[in-house]
Amino acid sequence: MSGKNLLKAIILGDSGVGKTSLMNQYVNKKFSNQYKATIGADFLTKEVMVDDKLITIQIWDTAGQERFQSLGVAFYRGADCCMLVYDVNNMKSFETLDNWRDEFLVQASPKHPESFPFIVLGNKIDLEESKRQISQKRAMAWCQSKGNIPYFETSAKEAINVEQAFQQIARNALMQEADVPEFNFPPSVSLDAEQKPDQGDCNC
Amino acid sequence: MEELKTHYDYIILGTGIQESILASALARNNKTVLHIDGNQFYGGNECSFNFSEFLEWIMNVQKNDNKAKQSTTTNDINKFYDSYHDIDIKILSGYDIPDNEPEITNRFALQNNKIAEEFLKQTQTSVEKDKLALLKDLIKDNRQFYISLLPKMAYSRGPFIDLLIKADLGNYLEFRSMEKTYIYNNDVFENVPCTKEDVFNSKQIKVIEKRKLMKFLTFVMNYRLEKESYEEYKDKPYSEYIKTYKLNPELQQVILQAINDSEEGLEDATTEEGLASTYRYLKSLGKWGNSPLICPLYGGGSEISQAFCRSCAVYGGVYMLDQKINSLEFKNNQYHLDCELKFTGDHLISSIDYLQDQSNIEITDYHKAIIITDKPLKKNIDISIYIIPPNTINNNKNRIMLIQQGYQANCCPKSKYIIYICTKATDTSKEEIKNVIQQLFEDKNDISEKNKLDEMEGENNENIKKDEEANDNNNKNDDDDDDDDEEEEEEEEEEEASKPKAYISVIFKQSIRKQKSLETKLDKTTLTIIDDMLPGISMETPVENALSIFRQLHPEIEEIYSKPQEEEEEKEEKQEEGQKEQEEQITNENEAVEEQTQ
Repeated sequence: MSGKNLLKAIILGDSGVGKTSLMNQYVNKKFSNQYKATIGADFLTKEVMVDDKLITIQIWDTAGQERFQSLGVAFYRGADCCMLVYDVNNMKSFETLDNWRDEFLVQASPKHPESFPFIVLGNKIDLEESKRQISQKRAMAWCQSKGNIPYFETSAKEAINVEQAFQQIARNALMQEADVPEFNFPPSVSLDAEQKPDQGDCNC
Repeated sequence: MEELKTHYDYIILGTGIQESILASALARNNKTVLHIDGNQFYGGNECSFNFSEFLEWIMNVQKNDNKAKQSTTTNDINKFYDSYHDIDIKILSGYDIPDNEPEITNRFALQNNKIAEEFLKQTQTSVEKDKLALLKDLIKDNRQFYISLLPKMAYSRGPFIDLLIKADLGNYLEFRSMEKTYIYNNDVFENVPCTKEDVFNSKQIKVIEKRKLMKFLTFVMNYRLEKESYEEYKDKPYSEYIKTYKLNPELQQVILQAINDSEEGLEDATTEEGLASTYRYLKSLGKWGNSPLICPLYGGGSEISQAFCRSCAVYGGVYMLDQKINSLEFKNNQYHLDCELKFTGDHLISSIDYLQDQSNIEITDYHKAIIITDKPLKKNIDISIYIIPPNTINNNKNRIMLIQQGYQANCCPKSKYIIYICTKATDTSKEEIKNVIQQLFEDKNDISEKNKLDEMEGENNENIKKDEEANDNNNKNDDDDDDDDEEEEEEEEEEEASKPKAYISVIFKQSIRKQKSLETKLDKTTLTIIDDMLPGISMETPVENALSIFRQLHPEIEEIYSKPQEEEEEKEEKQEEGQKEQEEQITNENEAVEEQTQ
């Protein structure tokens, strides 16, 4: 297990599958029926206990940039785990999971792509059964074919399986071997350290 | 799913740093923003590429150049490739060809290898095995490369850092201090002294010169309070004013060429301009380490763009990359844009790349080179700047600037370095860049070299021991000496033993475009054209430019990034109500548009 206690999780999937709702349900225990194309949400953080260890998960939303495939490489950088979300009532959103997974592997280029911690969420199971287009069986078959990705059926609205899914992804991310840097770099400059007043003088 | 709006307050074309700053600032102030780029990547002319993208970029520049020569016109509005010309590619020869290549099954790796082959076919007369092996080796670490078309750093005190903090973008960006600046003198790169420590520790500067230099540097830090002391030189050349401090020619060169962020040095600057430039540099010292500049990691330009774009998206901005723009018209007081979908906008902010009428622009050309090497120019130094003043390598007429970034800048895999060379284009500039490359880098891999190297290292170690002994004796006589100097001497000797190998060196000309006059800018008050960024090292001018454009567009907004949270939410809600009404009207239109595109 790694010594890491901050995890960057990114949440991917087509527009409208409920990515922001899942985040909000998990972090704020809130759900809004009104679709608001992710305004003001940058990333949410939540502290969570995984096997007696306190972990902070930082969940990054796509901020709508997924709509026209315009998520830049900076968004993917340093992700420790990735949640792929589709809407069980929307076939297209399931079919594009492949693309999202590929896109992630290309852009984030993790060291061990075969064992990178993904998780798949089939969201909106609260809608009536007749609307459902992808069966649990079919989704699970896909997950299996991609190296046994854990699968959860969720409802952000009814708070079904949301907690469990995030718990699982946090645990899987921690199982990943930490990439220990071989060199001791000078620390990168932190802009947070900025808050102290400027002296306005130089060393000369 | 929410319908996409088709009308926006602002349509922004191009995702360069300045356009992205404006996009973020507008969205944060409740303006609706549609932000479009014709390229697949963020950053416009400030973009950075991984290795395969870099090869593709080179091929595209070559193709575009050939097309331009045959004067075939394309109907794409995006003129990104038109600013790059005369690209020359040189690949190291004699690279070790591996005896048995491991079989590659990964489809991404296969694809990359195909790009490498294609690249050699297009750019070289024949596909030589050693060169292909080299490219394949480099492309293995494809995504660890961030090769920038306009490498930039930021002053640690200045408008760029202020803006990042105000906009709260610290989370998106990482920086590391630039380590050292060097100036070429007597066939070696000498460390540029600019802090008190540097000046005192310098072995090259005599004690009396140290005093003069300190006097000058201290004056510049307070120059604005002592206007009378330079008043008579104000509009005269800075070089003349500096002479009044009676510094030796080398130190004058340091001030004019190295301690500033100007594109061409301060040789032609007035005293007023020069003092301002030196002051900006000195002011930033000591905040984060012994250097005034911090280097954005992962290639810089496109990272900075992406940070501002994300902040725009977070506040509702709509993003579309990789858009072929079919038409862009102004009618009925609106801009009509036809790309993947059709949109209208009240205002248009456009990078000069998308300006249809290019007759009113002024072009300044720069000759540049991008080199990937196996070693840094100075041992154990990663992020650094090297200035070659005029008349130092084969009587060069131009000031030539080199920027080195490696693994520490997260721009390269381990033990690779990118060196960027830039100088203003003149009749001789290309030749001068070639001379610099020849002087500083090895262009072939000598197989017997490895054995030689081993021997030399052995000898060197012995020499160093002798040197140390000699130095010990010197130290007793000279108080100014200290340990740093010994290290420097070691470095120089080893560097002479073998130069960095230029795995791949690419020379090209880049046009920096600017609108000709203010009058044309104000033709339509709803149109803003963003000039290209100049290739100087820092980001202060473009940031100030973007902010001043914002203030012109919205003089009523005092603080771009500071607003009480509640007020913001209220406004959002109000906006949404308004939007709903509008949306109902737009929905019909939207459906029509969608049908068309399908």
